[in-house]
Amino acid sequence: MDLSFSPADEAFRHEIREALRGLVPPDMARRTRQGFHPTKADLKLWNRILNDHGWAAAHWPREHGGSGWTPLQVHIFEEECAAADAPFPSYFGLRLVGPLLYTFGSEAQQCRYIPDILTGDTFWCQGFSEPSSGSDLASVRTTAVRDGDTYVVNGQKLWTTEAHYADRMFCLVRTDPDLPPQKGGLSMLMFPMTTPGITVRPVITIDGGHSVNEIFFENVRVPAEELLGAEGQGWDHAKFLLANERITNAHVPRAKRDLALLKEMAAREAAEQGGGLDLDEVDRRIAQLQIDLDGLEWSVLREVIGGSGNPAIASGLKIIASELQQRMTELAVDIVGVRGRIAYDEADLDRNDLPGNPPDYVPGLAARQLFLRATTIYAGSNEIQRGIIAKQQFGL
Amino acid sequence: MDFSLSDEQAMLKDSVMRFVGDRHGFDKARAHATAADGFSRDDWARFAELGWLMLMIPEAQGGIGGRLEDAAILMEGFGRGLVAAPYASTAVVAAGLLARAGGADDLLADIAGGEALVALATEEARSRYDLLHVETEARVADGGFVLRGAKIVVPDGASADRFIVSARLSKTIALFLLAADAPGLEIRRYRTIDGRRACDLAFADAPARLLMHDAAETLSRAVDEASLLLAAEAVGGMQAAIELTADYLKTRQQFGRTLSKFQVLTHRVADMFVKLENARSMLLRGLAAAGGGSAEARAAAVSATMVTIIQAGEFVCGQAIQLHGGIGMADENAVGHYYKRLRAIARTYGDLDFHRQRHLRLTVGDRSAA
Repeated sequence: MDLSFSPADEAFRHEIREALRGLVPPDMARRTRQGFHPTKADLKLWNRILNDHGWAAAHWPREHGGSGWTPLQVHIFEEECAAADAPFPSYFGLRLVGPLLYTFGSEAQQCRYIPDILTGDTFWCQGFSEPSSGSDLASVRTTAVRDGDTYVVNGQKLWTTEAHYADRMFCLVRTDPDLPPQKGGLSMLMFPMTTPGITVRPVITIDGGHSVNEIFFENVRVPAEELLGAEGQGWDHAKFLLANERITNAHVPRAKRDLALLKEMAAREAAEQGGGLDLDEVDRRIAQLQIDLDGLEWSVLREVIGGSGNPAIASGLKIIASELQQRMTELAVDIVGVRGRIAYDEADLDRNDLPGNPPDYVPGLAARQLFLRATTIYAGSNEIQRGIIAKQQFGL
Repeated sequence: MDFSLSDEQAMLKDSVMRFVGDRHGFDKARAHATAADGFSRDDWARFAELGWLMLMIPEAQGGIGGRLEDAAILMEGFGRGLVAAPYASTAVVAAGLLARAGGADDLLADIAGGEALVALATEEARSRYDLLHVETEARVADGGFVLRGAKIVVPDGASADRFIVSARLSKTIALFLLAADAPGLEIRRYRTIDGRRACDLAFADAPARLLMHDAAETLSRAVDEASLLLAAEAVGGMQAAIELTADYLKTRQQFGRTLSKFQVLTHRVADMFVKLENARSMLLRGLAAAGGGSAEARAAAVSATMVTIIQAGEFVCGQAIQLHGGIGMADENAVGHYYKRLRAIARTYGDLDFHRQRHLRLTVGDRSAA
């Protein structure tokens, strides 16, 4: 047992911090701090900058284009990126379908898709949830019927994040209506979003933003070679992704940055609002958040370095992290007081006559707080996670 | 950074788990709680045989020179088995202070051999966990020192044959050593809620040996380390309470079904598990901070650990009783004993408010004072 960061780890952190200096364009950093959904242009540009340094897929194994860093180094790298106000790179290529491809994909598929994921030239989205299939992913109804050397896809997906940015989708479909999903009824297909028969419609969320969509498939023809792995393996692929997601979704680096910004903000608001803000109470709430974030960080370190691989641990991280993100933004909105009620429009941010004449950190807060209600729902709602813990850890 | 146990640590864990499993079931723990000392002297002799009592004594002073993580492994096992032996107070805290003070090798050898029990007395009627609030006074008399004042609720104090006492010496805080039968020392022994034995001490010019001048930081470090050991014990206790609860849900029938069929109950167990694992992470973080870095960083980290442990302990063990229903209230059921131990830990070297405030002062900062 060695519980300290080694001098080599500290040297690595210093090296990354120096290398990142000046790399995030100031306007991109400002948008990231404000917390609106990242624009496609920002995601693409940052992906390209990362790739120019060989860092786009820092968390991947070296043979697939990763950095070859240790898990702790990857964690340090992500922490420094967040501290530099870099956006979190688009999730679906680098975090989800990339690892799916190098784990389950054919060599041809890997050659076809992985290079453009690394450069950010191809954006992906994930077709999982459906109108009647949310937490109960096994109930997916979208069908893919084999017709010669193609599959014909019909159905509907919902809550598809960044589908309006995406060039391609990986999509969970029912290939055998008679088999239960866990026993070979589901498969994973990959196809371009420009395939005839696909319609994408925005779903505006309670924050007023557009990050998720609904997708309609009407006789969408997908070549059979776009099947991932073998037919019937879709449930294994989904489980692989969800387990990955639960660790990454802890978003500790971003949370640490958010808490640092929250502390600065509290001090500035206290100065601006005079005695109107109860700073002692704010400090108490910040201190509790700090303690809970420290616990989350060490739980993530334990998992990243020790790697228990225990699904109950991953589920616990998801619960803690999502609740923590919500509490942090709730406090941020509380601190800014009455301006926390104003519906700022992202498109207006560069105007100098914004309502309430707010400091720069105010406009994105309320929207972000509202949107983060989703964190306890997506990637398997927290109630699903509790069910996993009860079953996997205790056989309940 | 590496969270895996070394071979030596794995052996230590294995032997404490075997001790708890084979020799120290709940029936034993309950019997010990009603015995005179509140713990088993036979167990203590066994600890000496196993080398556990010399684990934390430096090699230069005849010990094994273990690290706090090693002692934490033992404490987690003791927490699981409700072992009430005064391990943390004598074999880690007192042994550590005596080793640092020097000139006490005979007493250290007695501790290692299981022949001496030494308790640290810091708390006073008006100190409220503040180690720097010391009203007990030392003064020079007959070429030595005598103590005047009082200490209360000394952990493991009732069975101790010696005490290390914090007292004011001119303007600084110093540590003194005196025997339980020293003249001018009056001891009042009693039970605490967890079935253990504490005591109050009253000093009326009781002669004592000066161990250390200007000991504020040494004392603060020793008590922080003691807190972390209690945190490790709490983690072991919480885990045991959760396992008992999960097992109970699988067997108890109500409304024609086992309780494990009620989601509101199984989700509660999941929440208990999440809090336990978070507490375990904060224990490791606290141990890391105790291993290096500044005194302020250590104190802040230990208080953060204790805030988490105390919050988790109240939830986990409180809900262990709740999910057991009526039987959880019975003294013959183990879960209530874990709850009581966690409650006692939460008011030994600092309670929730104390650790919250100390953490706040050292991290977010005391702006109002600035």
